[in-house]
This record gives sequence, C-alpha cells and structure tokens, in this order.
Amino acid sequence: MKSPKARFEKSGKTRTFQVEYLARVEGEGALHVTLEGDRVEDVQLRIFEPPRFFEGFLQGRSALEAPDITARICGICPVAYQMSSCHAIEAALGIRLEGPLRDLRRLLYCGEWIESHTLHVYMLHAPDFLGCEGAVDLARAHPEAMQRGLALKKAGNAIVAAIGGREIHPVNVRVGGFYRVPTRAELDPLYATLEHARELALETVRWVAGFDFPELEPDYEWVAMQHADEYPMNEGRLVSNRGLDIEPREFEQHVIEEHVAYTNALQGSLRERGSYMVGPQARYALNFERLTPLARSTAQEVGLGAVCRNPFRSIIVRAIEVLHACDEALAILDRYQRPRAAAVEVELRAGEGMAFTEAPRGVLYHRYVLDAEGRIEKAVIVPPTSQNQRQIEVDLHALISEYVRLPERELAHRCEQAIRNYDPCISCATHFLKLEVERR
Amino acid sequence: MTAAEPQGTLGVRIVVIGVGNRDRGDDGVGLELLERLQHASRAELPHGASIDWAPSDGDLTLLMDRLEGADVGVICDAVSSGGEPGQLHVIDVGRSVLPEDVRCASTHALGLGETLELLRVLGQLPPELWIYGVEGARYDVGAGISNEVERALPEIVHRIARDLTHWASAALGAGALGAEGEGRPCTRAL
Repeated sequence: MKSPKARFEKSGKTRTFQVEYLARVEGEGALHVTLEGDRVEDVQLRIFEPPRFFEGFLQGRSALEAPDITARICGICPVAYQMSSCHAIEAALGIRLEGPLRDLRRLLYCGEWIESHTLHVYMLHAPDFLGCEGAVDLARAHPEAMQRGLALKKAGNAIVAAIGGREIHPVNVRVGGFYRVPTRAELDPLYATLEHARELALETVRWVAGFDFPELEPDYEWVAMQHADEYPMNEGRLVSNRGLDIEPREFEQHVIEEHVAYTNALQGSLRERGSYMVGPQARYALNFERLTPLARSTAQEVGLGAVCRNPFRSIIVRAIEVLHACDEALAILDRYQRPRAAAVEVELRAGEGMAFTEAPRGVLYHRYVLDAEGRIEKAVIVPPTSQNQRQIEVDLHALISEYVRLPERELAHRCEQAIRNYDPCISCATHFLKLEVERR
Repeated sequence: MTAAEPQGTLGVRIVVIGVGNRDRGDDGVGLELLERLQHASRAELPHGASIDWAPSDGDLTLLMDRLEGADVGVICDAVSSGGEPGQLHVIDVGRSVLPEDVRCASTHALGLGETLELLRVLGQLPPELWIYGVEGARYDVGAGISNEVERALPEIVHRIARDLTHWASAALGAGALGAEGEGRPCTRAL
C-alpha cells in the first residue's frame, strides 16, 4: 500500500506529522497533528481550497436563478443544491409541491444518492480496506467489483439524466417544479436498469460488510432529518439523538458557523453543545425503521444493527442507502403518472424562506431573503462538510490516541481513511486535505 | 476518402470528448476544440461515421460511459507542462501508459488519467484512443482563451479532423491509408 504524502518531524518530546495533500477526497485539504509524547495535543483539518463566494454571487439575482447557480457549487451533488434552493425559495413564496412533482424530485434525489455514494464506496473508500492504492489498483485486483460499481453508478446517472436532462448539473429543475416532466413511456426503460441496480446494490452491501474495520466507537450526536413515514430526503424536521427537534426556520438559532484561522471553510457546531455528525450514519441511526423492508433486512443480515457507531463502517451504511434508493426509485416509478403541469405557478414577491434537504453527505441548509421583485437580497448556505469538519477532528483525536503507537506512516494512512469516512466534499465546504503531525 | 466511396466509414463509431471549464481561461480549450470540430466542414470529417460529440465538465465516470463501444475515441483537453502556449501534445492512450503527472493532474476525485487507466485495466479502452492536449497560457477565472492558443487552434482543428478520418478508415479495416502510411498521427509524449 502506498503511504500518503506525509511529513514527520520530531523535536524533543514533540512530534508533528502532516498529510500535505489528502487523496481521494473531493477538493483540496490537509491534516496537521501535534503530539506531546503519546498525547494528542492538537488536530487541525485544514481546508485550503479558496473560498468560492457563492452566497455573494447570488445577491441581486432572481430567486428563479438560484437552483442553477447553486448547482454549480458541486459536480457530485448538484441535485442537493437544486433541491435545498428550490425548497427554501418555495417556502418564501408559500409554494408546496405534492403528488407526482414531489415524487419526481424524490426520484431525482435517489439518482444522486446512487451516483454519489457508489462513487465514494467503490472509487474512494473501498481501496482503503483492500490495501489498494486507489481505484485503478482496485480494478486490477478486483475487476468484477469495479465493474459492478461502475454499472451501479451508471444506473444513478440514468435517473438523473432522465429527469434532470443530463447526468451532471441537471438543467430541468426549477422553482415550482420542472421545466418539462417525463412521460410514463420515457421513464419505463429505467425500470429494468433499476431492478438490475438493486441486485448490484445488494451485492455491494454484502461485499463491503466483509471488510476488516478498525475499532472506534465515539459517542456521537447524530443530526439528520426525520419524516413521519419516509427515509428523509426532501422533507422533514431536523432531529438528533440528544433532543434536537427543529424546523428549517430554527436552524440558525441552533447551528453556529465559525471562522477558524487554519481553514477556509466555516466550521459548524451546535450552540452550547459542540460537534455533531451529519450524513449517512446519522440518517441511518435516526431513521432505521423508515428504510425499505429489503434495505432493513439486508442491514440485519450483514449484522449492522439499527445503529452503527463505528465511522469506518459508514461504507456499509452508504451501501444500504444505495439499496434503499434503488428500492424507493422503483416504487416511485411504479406509481408515476405524468402530471398535467410541469410546475406550479410561481409569483415572485418579498419574503424569506429556509429549507434543509438530505444531500448524500448530510443536511444541506439554504436561506434566502427576497425583495419585492423576487431578487435575492441575502443567501445563506450551510453544506454538510462544513458541519462535519469539527466532528472529523474529534474522530481523529480519538483515533490517534488509540493508535498512537502505530508506525507513523500507518498512522497517517489511518487518519486519511478516517477523514474519508465522511466522504468530505471540500469544494462544497469552501464554497479541503494536506496531514501534518507535530510531536512535542 | 474519395468520391467513389460515398459510404466512407459508415458504421464506424467515433466519440470526441472535450474536457474543460470555459470560465477558467485556456482550460476551456478542450470544449472550444469540440465545438469547432463539430462545425468543421463535412468534407473534413470522416464520411458516414457516427460521431458522438461529448462535452465533459467534471464527472469522468461519464466519460467512461461515453467511450463504451466506441471504435475511435478522441479527448481534447488543456495541458500545463511548461511548454509553449498553443503547443499540441498528442498521446496514444492505447499504446502507452500515461505519465504519472498526467494521471494526477486533477483536483477532482478521479482525474482524466486515472479514469483512462481504469478503462485500460478493465479492458474497456476503445481500439483507438488519443488525447489531444493543448498547452495553455493562463487559467484565470473569466480570462477566456488566450491569443497564443487562439492562433494555434485552426491548425489543430484541421489536424484532429484529418486524424479522425485516418482512424475511422483504419477502424473499418479498409487499410486505405496503410497502418504506418501517410497521415498516421505522430505521437509525442508529454
């Protein structure tokens, strides 16, 4: 296994190590660790990808442009940005989607979850568990697995292309619905694709569940959306395992974003409580009962349980969510009837709206203040990776304390692996990795 | 190709992919080449072949889908190797392992080189796959294509169109130009 590009220094009892450029994450970041003897003094996740100022670009633009502008924040999860922006603006304008339009948005989100999770599971995360350097090395050692991953991702792409108009940066989403809705006949070919994908997803769960996982079980505060009878995507309250239970309009009262000198991404934390985890493990722990019966029984079959505390096992949770998304997408296809109108009528006016939806990496919050013409006066975007940053540092602190006697390169590699547990999207968070360890 | 062969390369499947970002100066050159090739005169392009024109702005696994089943694949992209702006680098992907620096030249989760190596390992490279990389002068936000690159483009478009015709004929097994004959693209590694 190739070691990460890590630099080690020692001065007296102080040791530092740094991973200068994190591999297999989306965007640019680094990790700096300081050890005093065997005690972890400091862990800094440094996101050096420059800030991207999207909230500033949005000011003065029509609210109707927000879904297409914010989709450009990320090439991996553009649907999430379109969903959160549409819902927030619709909240400001008093619009609510029901029936097939609501279903189509959920179907589109299923496509993105399949695309994004599969990319991470096969290309970025699985190599860590199989002693492979990366995706190419994994394909060489396990070609059948890589073929399966590519076919599964392709099924996600097919959904996004069918509803969004194209696989990346879909162009068919608008405030109030869509520009055009597909006919039943246009969606029919997806059925066979998804039935096959569901089989591949099932194999994926069994495959990743067989990996060896390092021991680590922190006591997390999990934060995810919750809906009465659906595994959360577009709608629900934001809840946690420690009593948080809020609506979108309460988000900024509970989540604070702070600028920390060593990182270009704002760090999120819960007021008076500190770090928390968003993403697949949080969603799963808070919504296990809302998974489809197949996803639930498969989780049980591979011994996952209703709650999974080990962050390295997040790869299994992602695979379960892919299985759920295939199942859910098939159920939506079953009942789909083309709506008469592709969108509900939108009348621009002054207002303020907030929304969160479940991006593949976790809760994505948007807030917009609109003037009388419906132009954006203020935009606030809180992506999942910003919210997870502090928790990643807490995980690393625990991990390094536990494994501090490992050879340094092995320790550096394990740290990188722990960061990848979160599938961090640095490009989103800066709207992040390089590892430094300092031993004192 | 002659007038006596109206069917030309009928049945040959060609995929031309332009990779880049038009908002980042010369990084947009792959997309610009794609557009110019698409609008090149029909006489310049292989006659009768099916050509799939594919812009790519990020997700390279899509590129894998696009290349599936192609007889000839061409990828146009910007290159930053310290050479002269506008200089053309032609890489025969099918016959050479990409240099390490090409493989890592992306901030995305999976770079172009890594994606192509993945296809090679899985035995899914098209029989002919070529990268046409144009050395860029600047990559600033909103800068547009530089004058140096702009000046080099007409000749590069002509060159790629000519090579496409050559490879389409070769793919058909016509052997019209001979395996090592005149018009065969020359390879220059980065």
